[in-house]
Amino acid sequence: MTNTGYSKPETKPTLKMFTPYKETIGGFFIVLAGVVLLIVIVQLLMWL
Amino acid sequence: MLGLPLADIIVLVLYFVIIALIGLITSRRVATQKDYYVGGRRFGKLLVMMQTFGVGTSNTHPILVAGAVYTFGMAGIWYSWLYMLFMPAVWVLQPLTRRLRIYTTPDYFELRYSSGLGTFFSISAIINLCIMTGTMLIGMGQIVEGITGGGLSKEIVIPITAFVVILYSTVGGMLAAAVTDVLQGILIVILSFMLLPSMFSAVGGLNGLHAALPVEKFLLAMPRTGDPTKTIGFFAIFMLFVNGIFGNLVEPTAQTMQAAKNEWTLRIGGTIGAFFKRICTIGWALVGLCAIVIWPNLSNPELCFGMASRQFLPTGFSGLMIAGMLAAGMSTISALQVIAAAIFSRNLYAKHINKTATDKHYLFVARMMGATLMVLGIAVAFLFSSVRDAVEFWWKVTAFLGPTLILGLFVRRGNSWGAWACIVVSVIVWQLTVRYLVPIDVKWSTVWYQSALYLPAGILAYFIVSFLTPPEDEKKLARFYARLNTPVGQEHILINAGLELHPEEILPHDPEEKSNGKR
Repeated sequence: MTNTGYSKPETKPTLKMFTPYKETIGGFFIVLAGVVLLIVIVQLLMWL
Repeated sequence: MLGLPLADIIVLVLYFVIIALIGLITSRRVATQKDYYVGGRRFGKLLVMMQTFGVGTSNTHPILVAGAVYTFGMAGIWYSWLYMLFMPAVWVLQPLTRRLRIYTTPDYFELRYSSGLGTFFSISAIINLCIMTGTMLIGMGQIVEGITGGGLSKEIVIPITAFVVILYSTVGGMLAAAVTDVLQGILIVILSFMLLPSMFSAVGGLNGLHAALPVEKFLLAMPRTGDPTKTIGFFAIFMLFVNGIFGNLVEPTAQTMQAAKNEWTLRIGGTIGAFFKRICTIGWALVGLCAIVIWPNLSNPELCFGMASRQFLPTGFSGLMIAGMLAAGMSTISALQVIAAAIFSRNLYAKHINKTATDKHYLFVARMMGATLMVLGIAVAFLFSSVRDAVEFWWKVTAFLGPTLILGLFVRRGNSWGAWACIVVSVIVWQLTVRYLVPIDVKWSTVWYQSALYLPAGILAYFIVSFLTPPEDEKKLARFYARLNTPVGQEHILINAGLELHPEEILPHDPEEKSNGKR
């Protein structure tokens, strides 16, 4: 379980909008890698 | 009969029976507006995944991609891969809209800016939903016409399909749409790749394709040569991507995200569903590539997917392909119907016409609006000359409104005056481009060149006007950003802080569910 560790809500744009950070940042790079991989694979297949 | 063998007709009839049953069964779980609009916010990963796939994958996509690849070469795949580059950003941004605990996209504009902007977005969203519905109906008509060799014309297919959707979707709501998405998802994945072995064998495989076609037809980014309106290069891809960033979250279909039971479910289901679509797109693109060799002089490239289905699928599977295409279109249309119904009932009817009616009354109004949308969609279906025209028009409209949504998330000083300025300036710049630049150079008729002007102009207007006019009400902003900073499942924080929240948003206190539903 991830604990965001705050009890009063922030009332302006903050980085807490992106909690839980580990999942947000980690997932971003995994999805990015997936996208790049798919493009590269399709282009390579087309050149074969 | 109807250009199809008996086996195909049996498959089609069976399909319609299943669809009707889905509507009937799911209708039992629809008692309130919340059930109808966002499936009671009970969707798990599978339903979210199939819904993302289903809403994003309508029957128009195989036609659009195969047709675009027929025209542009493999680079035409970007007509569907447009949002793929934006997917990592979607991973980050998508949960934010779920955190707002809203039902519809116009709810966002009311929560962040003003009631007037919410009303404007509601009206434009309903118009856009009509265009999208019309687009789906054209697509269905074209593909069935192609598969049956004209045995079933689009003038017959469009009204019949619309009628069936009205029957099952007005009773089943978002849940019926999601369940049919599961059905169509399975059919589309299988059928997208079933065409390929026989088509490849007809053209002599990849070697045959390479021998028959010039090398640029195989490039995902074409070099900047020849007619700029028929060349998708790096600049075009980049601008389509930027359009995607601003257009993605503002699309009324973003309402479907609100059905996820928590943020983690939305992220996982949404991402896998979106990836499924990109993979299926490859199958459709290859159909378009093979079609260039098989039918080199098609006057309407968008017919090639239907023609391929007719010629290269075995008996019985043509009916299944029609069922798959109808399912794809109908599930998307039913979602659009529910979205339009929600927007009309919540953001227009309940705000401006009848403010004190019961939940049951609003549900009835919503269902009636859903049915009306279908009738308007039929009218729109005959206004656009092709699927691509309608899709390009849609991209521009969403991009005009998109910056106001994205900027509103991060720029606290942004206000409704700035938002209005952004929309008005974008439309003016777009119109000036069409009137004065297109006659000088035809490249300005493309969505990528036009958006390179209207997007920066609109964003600049947003900042200038926002900073020159009074800020939004402090309490309103506090409520908005407090929601954004509070994960789904931690509503008690908002309530303790004295920020209003509709009681039905409060989830049962489950410590295991407190952090985005992750266990």
